[in-house]
Amino acid sequence: MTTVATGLLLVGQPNVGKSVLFHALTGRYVTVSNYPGTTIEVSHGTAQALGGLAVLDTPGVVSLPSRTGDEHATTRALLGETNATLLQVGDAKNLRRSLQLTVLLAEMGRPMLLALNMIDEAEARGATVDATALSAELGLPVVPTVATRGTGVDALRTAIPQAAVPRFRLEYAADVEAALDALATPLAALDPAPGISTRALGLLFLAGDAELEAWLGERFGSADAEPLEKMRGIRDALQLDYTEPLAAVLQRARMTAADRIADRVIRQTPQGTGGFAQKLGALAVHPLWGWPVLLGVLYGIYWFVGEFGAGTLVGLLEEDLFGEVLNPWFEGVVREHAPWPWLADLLVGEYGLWTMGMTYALALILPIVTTFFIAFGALEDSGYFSRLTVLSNRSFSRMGLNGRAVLPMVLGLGCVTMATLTTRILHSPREKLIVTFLLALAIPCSAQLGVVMGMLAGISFTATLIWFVVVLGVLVTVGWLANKVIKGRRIPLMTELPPLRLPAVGNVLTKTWARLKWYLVEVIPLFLLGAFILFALDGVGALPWLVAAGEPVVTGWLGLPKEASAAFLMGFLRRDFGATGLFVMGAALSPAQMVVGIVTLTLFVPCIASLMMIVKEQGLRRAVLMLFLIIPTAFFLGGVLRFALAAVGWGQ
Amino acid sequence: MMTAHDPQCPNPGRPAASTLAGARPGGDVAVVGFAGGAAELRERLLAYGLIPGRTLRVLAQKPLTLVQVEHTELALERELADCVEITAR
Repeated sequence: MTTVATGLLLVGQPNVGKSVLFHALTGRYVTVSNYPGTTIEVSHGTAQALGGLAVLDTPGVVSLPSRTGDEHATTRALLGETNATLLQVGDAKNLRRSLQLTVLLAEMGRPMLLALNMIDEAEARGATVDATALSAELGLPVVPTVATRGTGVDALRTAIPQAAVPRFRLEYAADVEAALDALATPLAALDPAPGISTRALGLLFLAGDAELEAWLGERFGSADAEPLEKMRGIRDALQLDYTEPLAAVLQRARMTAADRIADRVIRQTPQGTGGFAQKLGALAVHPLWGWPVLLGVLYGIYWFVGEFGAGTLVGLLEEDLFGEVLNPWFEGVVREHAPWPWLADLLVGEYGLWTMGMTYALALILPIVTTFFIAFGALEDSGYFSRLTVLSNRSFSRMGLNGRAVLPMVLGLGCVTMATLTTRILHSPREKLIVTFLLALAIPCSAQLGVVMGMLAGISFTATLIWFVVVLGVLVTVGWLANKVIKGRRIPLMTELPPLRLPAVGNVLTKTWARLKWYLVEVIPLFLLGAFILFALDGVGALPWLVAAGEPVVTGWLGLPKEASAAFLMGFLRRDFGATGLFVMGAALSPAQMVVGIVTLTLFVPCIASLMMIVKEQGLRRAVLMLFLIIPTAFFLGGVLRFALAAVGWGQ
Repeated sequence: MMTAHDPQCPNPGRPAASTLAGARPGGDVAVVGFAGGAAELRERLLAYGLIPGRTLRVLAQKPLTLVQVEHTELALERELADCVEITAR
């Protein structure tokens, strides 16, 4: 060991618990769930118990070379953080797979240790891993852990400062070894930091890691620098010895080594037919029984978020606390003490910052998103989403997607902005684009759902059904069209199904709190801004003018009273804001007008924050294009629905 | 996760039973090799533990091919399962 480690880099395969350990070591929370691909960027934190050691959490890599955007981030961290000790997090119940990564990382030439996580689940399946023997085989410390319960974390803290460069070396086939020797010369000329051995670089280079190749190009001065071309020559010559691609050849060598080691350290006792969790897990992906299970889950969410959150909690907060107590009191205080009437109006008037902005945000939206995030977090940790991925794969395949799209789509029912960010777990730019567009067009977020459900339920069940069928129809049709229009191929699904687990209350609450904080920071300013803009427009007398300007579309095409223009204006800021605008018009609208207005608003752009997220993820040009597709589509379909409802004579 | 760009495995003239997609649920099979498919796909399959010689348990074929490798369950779409050549165990 030539340098003192100045950091700790957590690496490992997806869904092995890196982020849980990161949290245990640093106290800093990153989103954790029982779903592969939750971490999409490198996160930084410090471990106070380890003398302020910098800790980095990386996205999971199935194997190296890295192939996807989030995996490239891990390769970059490996190449950049050369002074950091490596902490590989491995899955004890899938030791062979973990080890095939270990035998590559162990040759990086830097201090390393292995946390053997989920040791409890391995034992529940009758597999006992001899950590001492494994440690001797690999020449590095091995610490068994159950990260979610904190088991083994203290032992890990003790082992981290003692980690040394592993003594392990895997002997590849003679011609591979010769190529590695030949590559060592140009690589050594680069003088890489002590934390990256030329051997490990050579192995990644032979496997064709694009991120490494870009890094080498930078270091050599250009992507076609002479030494780099020479290295490519060595690789091409080696490839001629094999019919299989080199990456697969190297992978197989590592797998064979991992198998050999695993056979020596695992003791497997025969297991029974599996517990209740395994049976339920099988039921959840059953082509027939999977659907009733899904219905049960949906009903559970509906009850918790719809009945309890949007009903009971909103009732208590909005009507009882804000409506009866807080607002009258606050209004009284302001009216009495405000030096100017306009100031009182700004705070507690019709479009007041408090009476409109804060009341909506805190009394109406907060309980709904809180209950949604709790339900979503519990589902994530249960492992059900992976099953839903499998079950829904067929439906998504018609939209050119695979089942993995279900996660951002469901998250979108909570917050479209957050879901747009989460499209990064998808693997092709094409999938990201389709999902982002569908999210923006036809997925109502929980804030809006709460308002919309409340309004529709006030009309009739048929109204809810019309809304649901139209929005779902648009989602499916537009998805199908996008699949036809956007070039590229669909990527078939391959995913791991983590075991079903009972969610840990602590983790669900921490996660909910982290999401809520994010949400509140995003949303409250928008509510205040929205209320302020309306107040200002009203104050300067522009509101009547804008209402008149919107009349041809709003009244002429959609058949709504011209005052509804204000609702669409608010809809630009947030869809639910707009829906609430319709809500206050209440009795002035017929059921048909209400449904037309709500459907149009649902298809409308979600909110300013989500629009900015689309710009960030897809670029300004695509964001503008989406906006120009979405707004006319929303109004067009709203009008079509109006005439369709008139033709059948519903709700006039 | 999969990012294979060309996962087509046509298997001309090969009986369906010799690929993972045709394996009977409930049985154990051994991986023999890969038929066609992009390099990247093989790499991923290998990384997930589908390596020649390894025994897998086939759990289901619907809605996707579900297999158990060690103590981990994997789900593969049919067109991927078609790339994995197997023999019954």
